[in-house]
Amino acid sequence: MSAAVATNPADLVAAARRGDRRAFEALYRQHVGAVNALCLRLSGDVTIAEDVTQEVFVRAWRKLDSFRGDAPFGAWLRRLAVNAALNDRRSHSRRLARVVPIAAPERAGVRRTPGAAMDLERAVAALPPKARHVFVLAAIEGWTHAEVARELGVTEGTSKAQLYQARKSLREALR
Amino acid sequence: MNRILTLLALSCAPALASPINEQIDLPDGNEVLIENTCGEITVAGLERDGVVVRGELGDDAELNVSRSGKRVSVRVKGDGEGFFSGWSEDACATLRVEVPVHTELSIEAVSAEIEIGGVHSEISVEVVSGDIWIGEGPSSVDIESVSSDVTLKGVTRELEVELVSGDVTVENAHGRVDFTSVSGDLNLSGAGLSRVQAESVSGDIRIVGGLESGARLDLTCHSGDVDMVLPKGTSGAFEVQSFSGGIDLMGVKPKSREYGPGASLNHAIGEGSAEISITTFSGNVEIKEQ
Amino acid sequence: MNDKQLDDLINGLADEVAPERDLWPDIEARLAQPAASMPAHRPAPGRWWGQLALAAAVLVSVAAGAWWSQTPVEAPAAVALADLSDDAIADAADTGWRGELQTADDTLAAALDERRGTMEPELLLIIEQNLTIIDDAMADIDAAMDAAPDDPTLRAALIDAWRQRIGLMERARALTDS
Repeated sequence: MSAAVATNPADLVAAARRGDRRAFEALYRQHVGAVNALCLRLSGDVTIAEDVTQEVFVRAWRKLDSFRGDAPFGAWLRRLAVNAALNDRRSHSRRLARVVPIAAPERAGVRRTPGAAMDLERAVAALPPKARHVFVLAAIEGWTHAEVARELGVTEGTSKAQLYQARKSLREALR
Repeated sequence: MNRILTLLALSCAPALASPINEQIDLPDGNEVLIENTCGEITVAGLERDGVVVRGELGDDAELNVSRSGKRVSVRVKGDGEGFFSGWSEDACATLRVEVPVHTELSIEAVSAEIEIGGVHSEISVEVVSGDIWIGEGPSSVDIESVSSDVTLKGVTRELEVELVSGDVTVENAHGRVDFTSVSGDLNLSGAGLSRVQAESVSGDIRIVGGLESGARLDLTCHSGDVDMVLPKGTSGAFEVQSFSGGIDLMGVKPKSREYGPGASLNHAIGEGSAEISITTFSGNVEIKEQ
Repeated sequence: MNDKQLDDLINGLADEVAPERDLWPDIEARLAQPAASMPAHRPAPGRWWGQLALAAAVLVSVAAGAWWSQTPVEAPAAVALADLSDDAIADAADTGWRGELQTADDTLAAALDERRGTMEPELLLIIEQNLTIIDDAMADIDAAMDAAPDDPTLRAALIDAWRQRIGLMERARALTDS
C-alpha cells in the first residue's frame, strides 16, 4: 500500500518500518504538533523546542524497529520527546539564569496568542527548569509522581514538592 | 599478549546498531582505557579478573579492543580524523564494560553519559559534555569537562574536577578536593576533609561536613555564594572577605573593609586548628554549625 | 488565582502547537544523509596556536619589562598564558600591564572568532556564555578598582578572573585543534 493512500496509523507505521519515507512523513504531519507542544513546554524556548522536535523524529525513524505497537504511536513519540528534551545539552544554558536574568516568556520566544492559556504557557516557560519539568510531566502530561521521580532521578517527595512550588509560582504569576 | 579485534558495523536502512560482546584477559590491579566518541559508557567493577565489553555500535562506528602489557584499550572511533574532530551520530556507541575492581580506569569521550560503579582505584574522565555518575569506592577521581553534571557517591583520598559549566555533587568526600568552574555549583559533603580548593565565578559552593585537624580550605566565588555547615566542635580560623556580599559566620558581625565597601571577618572557633579562607566579590557567605 | 482556576487553565491548553516552520525538509535531509553534528573537516592548522604563541610572547615580554617591544619573541609552546605565575603577571601589572594584556586577550578572542564556524554550536554557546560570565565579573572588578585603586584583593581578583578567561579560551582552542 503506498503512503499516498494509507492514512491508517498502523499501516503508516508498518510502511515506515519498511523504509517508506513518505509514510513516515505522514506520521510526522500527524504528530508534530503534539510533539512540538511537549518539547516547547519542557524547554521553554521555541528554537530549542524545534531542534529537539526534529531530533525526536530522526530518532523515531532510527528506532522504528523497537516500536512494539503495544501503545499508540503518539505515546511512543511522546516518550522519545521527553527523553530528548530533558537530555538536551542546551538546557545547561538555563543554569546561567542565575547570572543572566531568567528567560522572560518574550525572550523564551513562546509565541504570542491571545488568552489566558497563552499567559499560562509563558508563565510555565518562566519557571525554573526542574520545576518546569515536574509541572509539565505531572500536571499537563498526567504522569504519576512515581513516573516523574523515575524519569528525573529524584524522590517522589521531591516531585510533589516541586509541583507544589510550581503551582504556587504560577498562581502568583497569573494573578 | 597482543590481541586485536576490529569490528566494523555495516550500514543498512533503517539504521540499526550492531551488538558488541567481547572479552579479554586482564588481572586485577592493571589499567583500562575507554575511548568513545559519543553515546553512553557504563563501567562496573567486579571481583574477578578480565575485561568484558558489551553494548551496541552505531553504523559508522568502529570498535577496537586490545591489550598491551598492563593496559587494555577499548576504543570506539567514528568517521573523521582525530579524536575530537568530526563525528556523526552513527559514530556513537553504547558501551557496557566490566573491569576488575582495582583497575585504574581512564575514560575519554566527546559527548557521552558516563556511569561508573564498583571501581576502587583511580578514575580519570575527560569529556566535552555528558553527565557523569560515579559510585562510592574510588581512591581518586580526576574529571575534566566543558559541560557536565557530576555526581560522586564517595571518594576516599583525592578529587579534582575542572568544569566550565555543570554542577558537581559529592557525597562522602575525604581528603583533598580541587574544584574549578566558571558557572557550575559545588555541593560537597564529607568528613575528614584535609584540603579543599574551590573556585567558581558564578556558581555556588556549599560544604557540609567535618574537617581534619589542620585542614586548609580556600574558597573563592565572584557572584556565587559560599555556604558551610560544620559539625559542632569544629576548630577553625576563618578569614572571610567580600567586596559587596553579606557575611554571616555563626552570628558574628563582620567589620567594614579597609578598602572600599564590603566586609571582612577574621574569627576563630575552637582552637582554630583548620584554616579557612573565603573570598567573594558579590556572593554571600554563610557559615553555620550543625 | 486559586487551584481550580489554575486547573481550568491547564485543561484549556492546546494539545498541539505547530512549529513556526516546517521541520520536515531538515528531518528528511538527516534521514537521507545523517548530518554531522560537528564538521568533519579539520580547521587550518597552526593559525590559532600561532595567535596563542604571539599572545604568550607579548605577555612574556611584558613580564620581562620589555612591553614596548614590537618583536614577538619565541614563547615556549607549552606555556599557556594560564600557566604564567602570579608573580609574572603581578610584575606585568606594575609596569602598566593592562593595555598589553588586553592586546593578548583580543588576539585570543579574534582567533576564537575565526574558529567559531568549526565548533559544535552547543559547545560554542557554552563557551561564549561562560566567557560572558567572566567578562561580567571582570567588569565588576574594574568598576570596584576605579573606586578603590589601592585595594590589593581587587587586583588579585582581576588576575584570577583574567586567568580563568584565558584558560577558557585556551580550552576552546584545544578543542578545535584536536
